[in-house]
Parts: sequence; C-alpha cells; structure tokens
Amino acid sequence: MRLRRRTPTHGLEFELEFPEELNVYRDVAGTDLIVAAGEVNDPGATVISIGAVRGEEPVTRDEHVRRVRANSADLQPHLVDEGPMPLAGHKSWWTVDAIVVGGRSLVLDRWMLVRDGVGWTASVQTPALNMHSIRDGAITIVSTLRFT
Amino acid sequence: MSSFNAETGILTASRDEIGALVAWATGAAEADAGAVDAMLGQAGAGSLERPHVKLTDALAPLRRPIVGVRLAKTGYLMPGWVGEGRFTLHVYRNGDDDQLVSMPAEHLVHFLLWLLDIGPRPRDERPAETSVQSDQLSRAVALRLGDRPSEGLLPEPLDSAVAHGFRDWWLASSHWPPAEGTPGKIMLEAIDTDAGLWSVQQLEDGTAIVRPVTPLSTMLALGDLLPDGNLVDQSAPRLPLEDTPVHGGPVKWVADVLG
Repeated sequence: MRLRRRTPTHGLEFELEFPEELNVYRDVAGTDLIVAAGEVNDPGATVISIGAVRGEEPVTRDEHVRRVRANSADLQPHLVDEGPMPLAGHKSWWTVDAIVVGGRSLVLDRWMLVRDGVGWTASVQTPALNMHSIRDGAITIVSTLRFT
Repeated sequence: MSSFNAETGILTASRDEIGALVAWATGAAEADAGAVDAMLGQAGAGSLERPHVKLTDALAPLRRPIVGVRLAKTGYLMPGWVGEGRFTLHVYRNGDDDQLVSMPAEHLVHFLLWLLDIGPRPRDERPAETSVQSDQLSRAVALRLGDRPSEGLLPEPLDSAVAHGFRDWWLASSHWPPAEGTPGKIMLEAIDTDAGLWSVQQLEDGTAIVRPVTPLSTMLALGDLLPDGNLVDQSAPRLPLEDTPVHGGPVKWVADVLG
C-alpha cells in the first residue's frame, strides 16, 4: 500500500494551493497557516498567512477590519490603498500598507472577511525591494483560498 | 543656526549651507570648505575631515552616487542621491531650516509614500485618458499651487478635479549609468486631487496625456525609482559629475505663473 503524505492544510477549514518548496508553519500563534519563502521570522522573507479570531462574539466585517488594524498599530502602517475584493466566495476588505519591521521596508496586503460570524484574515508580506517580482505571485497563492 | 540630531543623523541648516556641503561632498560644484567646516562644527556634526558617524552615513551616497534623484513637490525641486545602500535627500523647507535626511535606500518608497501623502482615494469612474496642452495644464497646476482659481483651463472632469479638489502636484525622477541597451532614467509626474491621483505623461509635441492612477499603482511606480541591479552599468564608478544633482529650488514654470 502506498502511503500518502498529508496535505499541508489537512485538518484545517480551508485549502490553499502553493508550491512544495515553500516552508509551512502551523504552530504560529494567531494563525492557522503560514507559508513562507524563507524563515518566518526573517523580515526579508515573503510570508503568506491565513488565520481566524475564534471564541469571541460574532463580528461584522467592519468590526473585524477595525480590530485587525488596531492590533497592528504598533507596526505604524502607512495605508496606501483599500477597497472591497472578493476572496474565497466571501466579500473581503483589502488593504495594502507600507511597514518597517526589523529595519526592512515591507509591503503588507491583507484581506479581511467574516464567515459565520468569525473574522478571517489572509495576508501577504513582501520586502518592498521585491514587490515587483514577488508580490503578484504571492497574491495568486492567496487567491486559491477555498473554505472546505 | 545649524543643528545636528545624533540619533537620526538629520542635519538642519540654511539652504546655502547644506548646498555647500552637498557641492563639496559630490564634487560636482565649487564649495567653501572652511564655511562648511564651521557650520558642521557649530551643529555638533564633526568636520569634513572627521564627520560624525551618522553624518558619514548620510554623506556616503553623495560621495559616490549611483542614482541621482530629483523630487519636486509643491512647486519646489529637491536633489537626492542613492549609493552605498543609502538614500539621502536635501529637504527644502523654509530656507533657513532645510534638512539633509538619510535612510536605507530600501526605505525610499515608504518615505515617498509619507512625503507625498499617498493614501486611499475615491474609486469613481474617470476617463482613461485626457489629452491637454502642456502649458494649459502647467498653468492650472501652478495657479492651484498658489491657491488661485484655475476653473475653465482644462477639459472636464479633470478641470473640476483640479479647480475644486486640488491636493498637490509632484514629480519624481531618477537617473543612473545604464547597462547596455537599457534605459538610464525614469520620471513620474502626478497631480493629486480629492477625486484621485492622475499621472501626467508629457509628449514632445507640447501636449500631455493625463490618466487616472490608483494609490497602489503609484506605489509600484515609485518603486521603479530604485533601478534593479541589471539596469545599472556595474562597471561605472559613479554617476558622472555632470549628471549629479546638487541644487534644487523653485520649479520655473510654477514661479513664472505665480510671479
């Protein structure tokens, strides 16, 4: 009998398609899944994360967006653009910020949505120097998000 | 009265004093080294021979610039330099309190997003292109920079956006020793209004094409001011002296209109 390796999203509420060579983390607090080109704690890495805020009162999308932005205020984000954008069959609110982490200048795209009263956030963090070459590919990975 | 912040490395001095320091450091113009030394000493920034370590960092891109940057905002042109992994800009303020500001080169886009106040704008439908006479567009922009009325100079809806919702006009350009067969410069010009950002493409026939752009596409375009390594002639020791920016000042066509 041939043993099959479990998929990186086995047991999660969603599926995500991404190349095998990327690093997968499922033990980072506040997230369900992190996929990274490089080490997750390296500010120079491109990092995709998917996570939900569970165990709280049901929220609206606007409440979730406010909460996410308030919780990241310490990054001193410079909000560049925002708007509605569908993701995984839901109405999400997309934001893109310029941030500095560990001395590195980064671009942070986030999509925030609510599913059954639970707030979900998908994000892509890309070094600003690589935003032309890497950001689009990382966003393509996020666009494959499907809830199961 | 000059001053130096040893934590941030920001030097504050008169326009002429910073201009003289820039001329000396780039070697691209004459400068009175004695006067510059006196200014640095008074500010607590060391001397030309022994500058404070933070000032050494700030001057590194001037001593060996690879990319020359020109940034015009609100009717004033400011010179900047990229080299040795750093970006330094002579920030024009009131003339007696100009600043020499330096940062890691990769922070350039973030800095410009802040300086140019790029942020979310309305997403209402706008014409894909508007062709205008360049001199009419310049006149409208200059009038608004002087807080004067500009109504009726441009086609709608650009006219209303400029006349009633003008925020700013800016131009950012960079140039470098190009690798063979590649471009050696880039220029971005934009008008910022309450209705959104508009890019401006100046044509050689005296017309300009104005297009609506998003804040995101503007950020990506600003990223192009730092050329990828394969666009730069790696054998060039530095930006040629004749191409090295030294002085800024009022944008001529703005000053001409505003008298």
